[in-house]
Amino acid sequence: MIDFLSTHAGVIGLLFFFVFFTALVFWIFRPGSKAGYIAKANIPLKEDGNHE
Amino acid sequence: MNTQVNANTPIYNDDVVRFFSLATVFWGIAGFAVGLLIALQMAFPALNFEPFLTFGRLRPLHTSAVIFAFGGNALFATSYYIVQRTCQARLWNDTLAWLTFYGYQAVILMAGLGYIFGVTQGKEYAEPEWYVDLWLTIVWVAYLLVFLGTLIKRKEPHIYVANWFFLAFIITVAVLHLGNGLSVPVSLFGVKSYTVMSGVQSAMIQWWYGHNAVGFFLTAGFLGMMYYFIPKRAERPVYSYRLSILHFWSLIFIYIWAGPHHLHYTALPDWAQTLGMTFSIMLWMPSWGGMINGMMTLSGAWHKLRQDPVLRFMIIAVAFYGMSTFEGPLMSIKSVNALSHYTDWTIGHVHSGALGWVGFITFGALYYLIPKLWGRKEVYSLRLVEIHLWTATLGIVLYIVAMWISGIMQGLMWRSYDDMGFLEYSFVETVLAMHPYYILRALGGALYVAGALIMAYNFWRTIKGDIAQDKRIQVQEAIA
Repeated sequence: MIDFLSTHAGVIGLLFFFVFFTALVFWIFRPGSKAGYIAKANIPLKEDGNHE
Repeated sequence: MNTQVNANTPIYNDDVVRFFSLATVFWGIAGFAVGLLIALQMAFPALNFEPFLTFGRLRPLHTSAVIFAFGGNALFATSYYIVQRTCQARLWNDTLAWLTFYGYQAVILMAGLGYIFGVTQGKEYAEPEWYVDLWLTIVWVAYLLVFLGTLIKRKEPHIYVANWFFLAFIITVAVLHLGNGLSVPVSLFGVKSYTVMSGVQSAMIQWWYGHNAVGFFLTAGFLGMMYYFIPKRAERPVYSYRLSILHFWSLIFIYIWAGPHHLHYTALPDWAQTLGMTFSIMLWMPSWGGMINGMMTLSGAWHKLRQDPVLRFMIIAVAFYGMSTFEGPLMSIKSVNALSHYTDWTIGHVHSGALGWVGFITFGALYYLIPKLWGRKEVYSLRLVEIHLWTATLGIVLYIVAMWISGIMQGLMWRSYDDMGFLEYSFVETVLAMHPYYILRALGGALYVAGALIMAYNFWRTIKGDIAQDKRIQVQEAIA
């Protein structure tokens, strides 16, 4: 197993990063996600006072 | 996404944030001042006072003071402030939070006194000896617990992106510190220790640590500040939350591999050098993603840049982030590195990131935080903020231009051969040629220190509750 991994480390690394980032891009642009992201971008703008 | 906001806002632990903020200002001035002193020592060697105040002992004092004391306290202050606001929850454990404050100041004092008395592991940015390393580990675990505990008891369902950056910074720095700190003390009550690794493995571990200290301490953590304070000050949401997710994961996954570019043309295997270079170039992705996201947060609010010097600090910081993280991958390319490595170009590069990005985003955050924390409407004088801004910007420009010229000149002089194949210049000739640029660099540093002193005065008056009679305040009120 370790021999296989070390022989093909380059290709395995390339595939891992390529699959991860492709999946990430598809995930963040999944249909219907826009409203949620706009709401999340507004989190810092909520009330932040330290008094009741 | 529905958020439940209680009828009465929770009371946050701002006391510890106040202490960390003041410590940031204090250590910042101390660290910048030592930097100015060692810059002058380079120009005028007579300023080395043996044995305690020589360049060799003061240089780690400067780097640790600015990175870990100034930067570290700024990260504690802002992460504690931001995690409470964006989670709508008080810090998890007051006692542990205070332990991180006093414990971290103890780390700084022990490390700094050690350097002056010659106690050092000799590993760049990881100079403290084993007993300081162990104590820092305890403080850092407490930091992680406080931060995680606050995240766990959050009322806001989503963990805001700034907190992702802070959490990645805390965890990665812990891993780096433990990996690079592995050492065996010579005796139980002695200060000396030796690292477990040796030879090229030791060098690789050191630069895996060293480069990620830049990537996670000085970049990821400060990006957390960017993602909170720019939207807050501009009163605009983050430009693209999707881009912030891409920014986060590409930064986290790519930075960790870039360390070998510090070891080009050494005993490190060639494939590892090429790997480090390739990942460094890929870092252009998070670099530009982050810069675009920070700057474009102002879209629709560009006019605020004209009126608000605090926001200007933050945006100039993001510009320097973009510039220095463009320059970095360029310098990691082997053929460029053959010219730039070991020269002042590297020093200039580090300082455009440190003074421009880390320094300016921290100043911007402090100018926002200090009035908030002490219940003031605005800082004492926005006019003084503006003077600080231009003094410091001029200082940085002088610094990095001087180092570009001197560094490239130095690199070219080192590689010049005459017709007979002999080196054209002796080492001392390169030093003589750099003298004027060293003076120029010290001048830039002096301006930067002066700016920080103006900031400290401004904060002192702000905390006292004074308001300067300048027109800017009214402009601000008109905007608000």
